[in-house]
Amino acid sequence: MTDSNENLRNSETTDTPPLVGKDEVTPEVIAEALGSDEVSAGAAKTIADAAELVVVNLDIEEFIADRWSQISNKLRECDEYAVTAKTFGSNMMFLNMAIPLVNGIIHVGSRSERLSATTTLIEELRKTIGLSYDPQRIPVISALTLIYLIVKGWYGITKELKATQTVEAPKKLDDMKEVWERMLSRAQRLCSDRTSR
Amino acid sequence: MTLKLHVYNASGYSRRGYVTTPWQPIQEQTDIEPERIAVFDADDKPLDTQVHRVDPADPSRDVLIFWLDKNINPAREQYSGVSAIMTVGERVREMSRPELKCELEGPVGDEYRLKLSNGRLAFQFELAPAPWGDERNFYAGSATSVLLEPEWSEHLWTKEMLDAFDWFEEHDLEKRCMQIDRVRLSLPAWASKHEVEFSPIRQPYKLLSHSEGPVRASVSVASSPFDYKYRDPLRGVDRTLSCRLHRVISLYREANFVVDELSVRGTHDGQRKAKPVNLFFNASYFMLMNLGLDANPSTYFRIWDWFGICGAFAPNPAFGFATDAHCSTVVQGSPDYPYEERMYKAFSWELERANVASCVHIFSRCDAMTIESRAGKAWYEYVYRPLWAELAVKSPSPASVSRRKQ
Repeated sequence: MTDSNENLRNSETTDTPPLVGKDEVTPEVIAEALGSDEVSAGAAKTIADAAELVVVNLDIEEFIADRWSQISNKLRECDEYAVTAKTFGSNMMFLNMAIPLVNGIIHVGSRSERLSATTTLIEELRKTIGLSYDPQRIPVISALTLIYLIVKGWYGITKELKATQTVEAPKKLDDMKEVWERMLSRAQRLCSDRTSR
Repeated sequence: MTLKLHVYNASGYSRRGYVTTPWQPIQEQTDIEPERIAVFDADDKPLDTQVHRVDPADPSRDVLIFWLDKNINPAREQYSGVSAIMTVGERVREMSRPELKCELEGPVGDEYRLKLSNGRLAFQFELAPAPWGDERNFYAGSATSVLLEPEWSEHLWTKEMLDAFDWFEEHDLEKRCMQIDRVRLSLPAWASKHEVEFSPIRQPYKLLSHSEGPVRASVSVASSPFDYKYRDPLRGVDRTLSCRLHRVISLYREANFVVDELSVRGTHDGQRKAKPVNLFFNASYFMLMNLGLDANPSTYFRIWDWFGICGAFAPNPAFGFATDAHCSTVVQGSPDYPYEERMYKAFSWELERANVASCVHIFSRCDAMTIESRAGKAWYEYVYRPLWAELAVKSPSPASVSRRKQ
């Protein structure tokens, strides 16, 4: 966690303790997953911190964990459709389907005061990282939540495969890994800072 | 006998769509059965036509509705002249059958739910107060599900408009719209109280009639009766009007909106055959619809006839409302709504005093600007200057520009 984001967590309210993520998808896990040719280590870290902040502030970690089976199935459905629609821009089609899905999670799992606090945090984050242009906060919140979900799926399957290393991994797990890696690479392209390096 | 019908397009541009006219004056001059009636255009082409006998107890409320496939121009005389002359005669062919359906649930005479659909919009309307069979007994007169097909071939996780973000199939059973939760009637100046208030949400509505045809799927319903007691100063006696809120709820062909026509009708002292009187009333609408955690009703200074509500999150569920009775500011999270966690979904607004009110409820998926524009257009086209017709038996009266001006 960067110092600036630590400040952000504490700046929300002075009376309440800082919100802390409870699941295994930590900013470090997200940063490690995103770091690639597409995303520099610095950008990966900033995005990872922001994604964690958004999910924690929306207070949807537990909601996501409880419905993970449904959510992961729907995300795989998005990917499946994107693969078949590759001639029309696979990543674009994936986002087109996945963003409303993520918005559903935010709207059912969160509350209006949490969303309001999160939009304020995005504004603070913009100032902290020195962006002069104020981004549309709603799409940013949706996209960061999507990144969190993809990393959660990818991390889960990676862990499961590691656990089965001693025995032969079932083909189904390998196939799932391929799907989640493809989704992770979509997330990496979404976060790419390659051309601006 | 062939009757001539004057059709009025009182707007400044060409239009098509549904046209309504009272059925009773036509019926008095023809012996054609309502099931065999048709309107013919200037080229003698039969148009899809339908008669809805709105209230079996009051034939003056019956309407003939027909569908204009082609645009008709506005009249040369600005907003007042006849735009087209059509004829009414006996049907020569069967009408086309678009996907307009009106399904009733429950035994005849004791229906508890209605389902109206037109292939684009489908909704479920509760007559009974407790449709889920539990202690929640406040749903009478509300639509508890509204399904809207995609506007184009967009992918949707759910078609439900009242809970558009919830693809988990854990829909909020509190969701509902188009519910009149309060009716207020003014009392005479000499009464000790200034008004009578009635909430029709906990007692069943009664189905008066339903109509399913090529132009609209429609139902006419009445709330449970409530008393309006007043002192008659001329006779010096206390009198009671037994009143009901009447609603004609129509889903037209091709529409993504529902038209709700309201009136309060009272009969004196329980006289069975007395002609009901229309009373002036204020009605309040209540809606519990998830339009987004950040949804905000549009507010425009001194625009009292329509509004739109929309959130910024895809799939952008949007709701628009238009009326000829003026409406108050929309209250989000009304103070008497008991569930704090659902406050952002709870909307209420009140109509100004009127003796009849036409209201349009629009459902869409679009941004805030678009729903406001659609609500404004709906107000103009379906409430303020609807296409309408009248029998050409005498010199045409000036075109209706609004019910209020009439």
